[in-house]
Amino acid sequence: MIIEIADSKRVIPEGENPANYIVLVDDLRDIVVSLWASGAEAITINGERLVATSSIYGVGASVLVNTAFLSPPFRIEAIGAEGLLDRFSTNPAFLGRVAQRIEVFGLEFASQPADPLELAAFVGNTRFRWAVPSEEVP
Amino acid sequence: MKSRVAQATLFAVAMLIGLLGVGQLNSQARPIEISRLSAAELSTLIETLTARNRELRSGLADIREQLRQYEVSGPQGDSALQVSREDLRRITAFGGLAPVDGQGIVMDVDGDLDAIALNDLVNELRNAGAEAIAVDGVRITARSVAIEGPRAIEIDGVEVGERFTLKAIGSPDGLLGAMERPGGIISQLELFIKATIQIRQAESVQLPASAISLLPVVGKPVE
Repeated sequence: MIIEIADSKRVIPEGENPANYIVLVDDLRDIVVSLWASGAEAITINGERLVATSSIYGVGASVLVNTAFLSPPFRIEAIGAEGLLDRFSTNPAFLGRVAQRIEVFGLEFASQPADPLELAAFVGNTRFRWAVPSEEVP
Repeated sequence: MKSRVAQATLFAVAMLIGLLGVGQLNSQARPIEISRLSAAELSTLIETLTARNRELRSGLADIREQLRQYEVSGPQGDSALQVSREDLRRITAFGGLAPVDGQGIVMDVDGDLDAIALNDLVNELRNAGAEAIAVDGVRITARSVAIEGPRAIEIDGVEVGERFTLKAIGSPDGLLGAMERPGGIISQLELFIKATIQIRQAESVQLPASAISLLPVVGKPVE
């Protein structure tokens, strides 16, 4: 499935916090949590593959994923078993915050199933500086 | 069996090496407006960029050495196989499928955290450079997320109580500093959720392999 989320295009009412009308790092985290909890097997955000060491971190107005600074619009692609979109759409992690923000503040949001979908491999360092594997692979 | 292991390893590693040619700090869409960042955000940005650049330089040096090893051991089957076994061991451990040991930190958490807070903790550790993480013995993989279960928070189907131990392997000073920075995740949890968190550095943190299967049912590797 593919998810696209972008800042709201609504006119911000006077006195309201403009930050409510942009995609926040928490929105991306909630979407990713919902996807993993719904059985996603692989996820990318704007082409950045998520692995065991991937963080989604807000830095100013940008979002740092792996070594890439990303800005909206955000395109999140996920591979998973049939019904992933339905499971995601009803997952509490999605419904709890981000779904409400989409409705209340007009964040631009679209989702659709996609088949086939090819996700880029992780581009980064997989070598440990501190951890040592403690057993041989059979 | 040996040839299949070598082939699988070389395939995995070749994918990795082949993609690293375009791996670099990249910025998509609009650049960060430095002038608009607060002092705290600038500090975070500098630390993050420094850490990322260090990782990339280290990774590039390692890959060059790896290529040299392959070139040298190419004609020698057993040597190439040994190199492949080491790579497979490392990649498997990186993914969370093998136990690991190393320096790091141990956090004892006591508080009514919800799934969001626990996921935030894990995210902070990853951003601080944690190479491997486990929560009450549950190894965190790419797919491991905390969710609200019927009775308690669950990770990979395992319940996490109000008191749990979080262990992470990585730079002890880096991890501790990131967790304890003023206004950081620990101070926020202690303030808003009334959690008690005790954190200490450890010379040897042993983390088990994940108990879940990461074998994709739908996804297939692309050659």
